[in-house]
Amino acid sequence: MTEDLIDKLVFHFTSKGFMECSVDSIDPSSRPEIAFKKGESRVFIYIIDIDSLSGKGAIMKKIARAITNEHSNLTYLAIPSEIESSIDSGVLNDCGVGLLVVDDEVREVIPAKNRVVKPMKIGEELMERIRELESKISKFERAIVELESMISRVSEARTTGESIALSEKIASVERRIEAIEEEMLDIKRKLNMLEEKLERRRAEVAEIPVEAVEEVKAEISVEGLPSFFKDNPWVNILSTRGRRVEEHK
Amino acid sequence: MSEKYKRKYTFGEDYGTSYYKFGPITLGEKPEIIENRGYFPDKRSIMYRLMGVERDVIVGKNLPLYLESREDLSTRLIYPMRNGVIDREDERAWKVIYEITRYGLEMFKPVSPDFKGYYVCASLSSVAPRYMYEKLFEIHRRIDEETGLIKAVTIIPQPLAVAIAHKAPTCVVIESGHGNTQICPISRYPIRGAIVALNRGGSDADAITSQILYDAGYGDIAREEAIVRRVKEAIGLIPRNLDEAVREAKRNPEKYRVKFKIPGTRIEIDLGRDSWTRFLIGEYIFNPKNEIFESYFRRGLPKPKDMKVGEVLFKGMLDFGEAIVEAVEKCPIELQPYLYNKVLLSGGNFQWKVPPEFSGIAVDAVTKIRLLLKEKGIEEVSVEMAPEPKYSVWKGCIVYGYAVPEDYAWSWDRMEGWIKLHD
Repeated sequence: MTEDLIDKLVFHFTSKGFMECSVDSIDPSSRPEIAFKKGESRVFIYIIDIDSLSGKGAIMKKIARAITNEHSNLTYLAIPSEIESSIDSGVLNDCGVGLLVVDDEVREVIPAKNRVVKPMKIGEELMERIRELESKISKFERAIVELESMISRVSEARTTGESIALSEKIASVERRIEAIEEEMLDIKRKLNMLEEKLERRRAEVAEIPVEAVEEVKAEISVEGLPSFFKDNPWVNILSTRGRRVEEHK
Repeated sequence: MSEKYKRKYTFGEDYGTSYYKFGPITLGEKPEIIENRGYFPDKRSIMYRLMGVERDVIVGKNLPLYLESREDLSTRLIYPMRNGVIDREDERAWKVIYEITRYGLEMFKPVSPDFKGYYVCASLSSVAPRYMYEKLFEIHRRIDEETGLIKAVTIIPQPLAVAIAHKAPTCVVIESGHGNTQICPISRYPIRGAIVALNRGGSDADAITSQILYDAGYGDIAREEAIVRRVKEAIGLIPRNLDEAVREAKRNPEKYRVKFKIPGTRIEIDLGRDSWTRFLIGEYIFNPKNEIFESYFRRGLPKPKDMKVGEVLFKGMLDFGEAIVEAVEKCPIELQPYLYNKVLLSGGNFQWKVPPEFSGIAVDAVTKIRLLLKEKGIEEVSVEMAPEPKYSVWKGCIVYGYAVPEDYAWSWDRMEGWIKLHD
């Protein structure tokens, strides 16, 4: 029964430009059976069908929920025509709640009053994030549109002989760049080798002033000792350990 | 007595991270060499009883004959100097040091009646704390009491020994071993306050080689430490500029393609299109800060961390150029140009091949250091590779032991001189 009512309500509101929206994120204490949205305007509809009449105080509870709801601009109670007479339309009118009677079609018996809506219980941070995402999406949409138009321009150009010549030119330029890169690498390699040679030469001729100014008199003989003793300035440096005051860091 | 006596009885000891090099001056150009390790056999094993082993620790050339099950090796086979520093309380490591020291001296026990004990010059890592000196002196004293083989003993830092062997009184020595790298400025004395230590060495190149092998589908080989080291030595390259080298190797994959057959097996490693990764191995040692390594760190390659051992902070991610600059800039400004004038590279971690067909893209360690320094604005620099770096510390010990007068007594302030053990 409720499904039948809902179908008719959906048809009624969508034909007026409203979009159905999810009720899952709405606080259960004021959650309607169905909700619609058009721009910033939100409509909540609370349905009382014949089945719900069996529950004790069910109508009153539903009406109370509709009246206390603060999250929609327009609030309606939707009922089947069979129970139209049991609803006190005056109370609804006073509270700004509209009444929709559904039989073959949907009749707006009492129009709902437009109200200022309290924001939903969504954290500021989340809202900010949503806004960011929305702005990103719109950027993406713009980019997609641009890309699509570029693609269509390219595919149009491809069909022309001019574009074939252009791509040949590009390929030739690419080949030339590659050849230049290889040549550059080769030159760089040769340059590096030359630099290395130069460094080696420099090292060969480099003088070490500290050793040059040191005039160490041989104090012990190294004749007949292994080759690493020969011309080794350390032999004399070490042989003077403890014999004179030396600079010592 | 002194000079003539020392010509026969000066003894050098180099406690390297992997090898112990030792022997008297009379050996000439090359010392004896054994692995710096000791094996603690399982005394309950049948093998132990059959072999009639009496000692707690086995050291020396015959050590492999005593090895038992493979599972036990990690706990029973001890490399005491793996990081250049031994914990004060690491009794097993000190026991190994005692055994190899005694083994070395007893191998050259003279029979001549004029022998009154060796002048022993030992060498430790430049970052070895004072307690290591104390322990090593204690070990020599004990050996002398037991054997009478040591007349006097002294200890010098390894970089000083390298500088001595290479006849360079003013220089910066970079000693890069298996586990770490020490940068030590020297001006007649080691400038201890300027030493910079890096927590990076040959083992880090092994680690990235292992990851490269794993990525290339050789997961089994990636777990075999000894094989990984051989692969590293065979395929690793130092790039002049990593980004350019990788681009070039990707552009010409066949030229840089590398295959390596493990000798004595049917296994052949072929890196195929991933052969560009060869350049990562060399770069990682010299400069692990390139972005390309981040993906390896994320996949489990251990990132070299800053680590404090004793009083010394071993830095993890400093590139070699930065480390040299940091060490030199701790020295007097006037001295700095002279230090840059001789940067000596020593240690097995600088032995990298440059195949002639890759010249310009791949470089040797000397060129790489020069380039790293150039990046930091240091252009007037002379970098040299120590020839025969394996033996240079021992050679330096022999020169030191021979040349330093016997009456120059040990001073804890100067950290040099002789400690006389007997007359």
